[in-house]
Amino acid sequence: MNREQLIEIVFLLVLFGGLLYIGPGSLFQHSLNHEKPDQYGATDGFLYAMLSEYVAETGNFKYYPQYSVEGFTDAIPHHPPILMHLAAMFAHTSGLSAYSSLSLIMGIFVLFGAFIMYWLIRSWNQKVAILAAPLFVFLYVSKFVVGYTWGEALLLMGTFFLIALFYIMSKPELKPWWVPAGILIAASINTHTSETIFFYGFAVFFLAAKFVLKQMTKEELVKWLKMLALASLLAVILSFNYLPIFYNGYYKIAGGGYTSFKPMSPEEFGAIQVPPLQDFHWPVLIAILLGVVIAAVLAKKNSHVALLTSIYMFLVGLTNYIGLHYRAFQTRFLWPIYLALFFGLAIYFILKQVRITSILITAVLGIALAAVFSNAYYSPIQTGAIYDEQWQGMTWLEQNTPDNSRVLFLFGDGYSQSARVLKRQAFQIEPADYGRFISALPNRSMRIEPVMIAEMKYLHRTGLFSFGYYVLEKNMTEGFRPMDICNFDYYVVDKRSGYAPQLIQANLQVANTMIAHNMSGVYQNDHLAILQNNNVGGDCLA
Amino acid sequence: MHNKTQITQELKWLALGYIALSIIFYIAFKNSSTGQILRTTAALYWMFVLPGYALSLCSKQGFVERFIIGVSVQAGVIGLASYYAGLLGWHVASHGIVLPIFSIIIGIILWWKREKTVNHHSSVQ
Repeated sequence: MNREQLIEIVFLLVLFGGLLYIGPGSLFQHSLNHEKPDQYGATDGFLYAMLSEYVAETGNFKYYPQYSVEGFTDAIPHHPPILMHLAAMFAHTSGLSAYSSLSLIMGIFVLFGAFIMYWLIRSWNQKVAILAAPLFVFLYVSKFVVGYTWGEALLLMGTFFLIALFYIMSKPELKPWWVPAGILIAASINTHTSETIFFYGFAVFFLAAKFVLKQMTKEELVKWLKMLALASLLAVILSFNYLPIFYNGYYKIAGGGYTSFKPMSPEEFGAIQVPPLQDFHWPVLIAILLGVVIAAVLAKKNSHVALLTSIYMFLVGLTNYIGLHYRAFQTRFLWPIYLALFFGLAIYFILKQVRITSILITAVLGIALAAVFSNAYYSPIQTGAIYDEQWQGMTWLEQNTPDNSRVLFLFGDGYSQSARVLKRQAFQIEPADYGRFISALPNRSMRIEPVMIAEMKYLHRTGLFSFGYYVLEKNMTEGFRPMDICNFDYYVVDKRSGYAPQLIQANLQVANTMIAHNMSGVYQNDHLAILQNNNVGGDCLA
Repeated sequence: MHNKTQITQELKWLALGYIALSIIFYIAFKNSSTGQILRTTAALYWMFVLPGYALSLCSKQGFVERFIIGVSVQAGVIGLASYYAGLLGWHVASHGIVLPIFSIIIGIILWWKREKTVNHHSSVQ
């Protein structure tokens, strides 16, 4: 091992060790296993945690758990299956809980994806790679971290496979190229299918750029097309079960939203979930924009995969303006990886002007930049959307009630996000509706939201390749709907709130009325009480 | 393609990598027990790194390039295999232990076949 290699290894260990510490380490409160799924701060994360637990327990992802689809036992999962299987497998192998396993897998593979991007850039220019890597710190800064804390697990794992595909595009000499490429395409289809679509977009962009810029002959182009066709064929074969589900689920039900090509600004979408470029902060943003210009100029001479990848994913992050909606916004969570090359290129360009070319100085500068970014912009990641006592209550419900129980959550902190994780049919009243809830009590009917996976209308198979939708067949109403307050088996009543203590008084008033009318308290701790309805559908209020 | 001496050397690097990964985990997850850390890093190695390395043995790329491609492909292979095995009724509980063995065996067979072909070509010449 020579001196340069040693310097680079030390650089990588310090940088990625530091990223693991401030990213997954901080999010996990520096503990691998957790008593409760407190790594998640939003409903998506809780959903994937629940599904991973379900796969770990039942052993497969053939159907959704009945409690997540209003009791249907053969509703087909439209969520791509790989990540839930990886998390469940890893849980059994490592001894971690499935929800801890899920967030660890998510965190590790994002970092491995960042490493692959580093190595891809390095295959073009080692010093640019070293100077690009500090931008990875932004994965855990500002709104970029939202993708992580809100539990965009499928996106993050799908991004890993997408980056691996970018890397394999830089290795056409692999024999046979189409086998690993086909497996990776299949993996991305079965993890986060929009990343597969971005890959094909990249393949077109890459081949067109190379061909137009006369960096690829016609024969090479034909060879590439053949390799891609073979890889795609393999991917289709490997995805034979999920692709029809995707087509009948996402594509038929939600596809219109992604093919309407209606421009959408972050503000229209709900800017809270969309990291803008300014989240890099101005000095870094200026370097990135300078890097974009340099990269565009350099790509004309040598359109290396690393350059084209960064340019392409930068543009993809802006395609909300031509109609790609949230799928475009989602990729922005990963801009610290995709745009790293631009930052490194700008710093390298400046260093070159002052004739600094030593690998040691470059590596020291890389670590220094990462340290400065951490110090200036990073703050420890906070989640914890579920209190200990809430989790204890949910665990009690899972252990002491029939599988098909229906549980109504009265007002409580965070249930609009965390009720997803309960392995029972959960229903909730939005805090905003609470005033109406109280006034609706006398006639028992209230707008209540089933916390279910209903986006694809409870897809189910009617034949090998034919599907039906329970929501349509049974003429069901999705989302909020009027329901009889007395028609649930259990009621979760919080006794404390950090956000709206005034609603707690209403909770207690309702609970006392219910106890006086056919309900009994079956569990309680300092934070909540659980009531059992002894006369479901009967009078519970008066 | 790689001879046995080179593979031995690379396995030593992987062993060093395991130690380095465990130390980094020990720092990043400082509130976990040593046993939990070693088991978690061993699970990462067993499910992804060793089978990925084996699958990439038949490639001519350098060590890091093979490591990247091998681990990425293995993540896809084991995820897909586990999904279909689950659909066929095989409970996921043992997948993490058993499926990597298949990848390792396939990787070694592919490497051995290529090695044999290369040796055959060399002896013919």
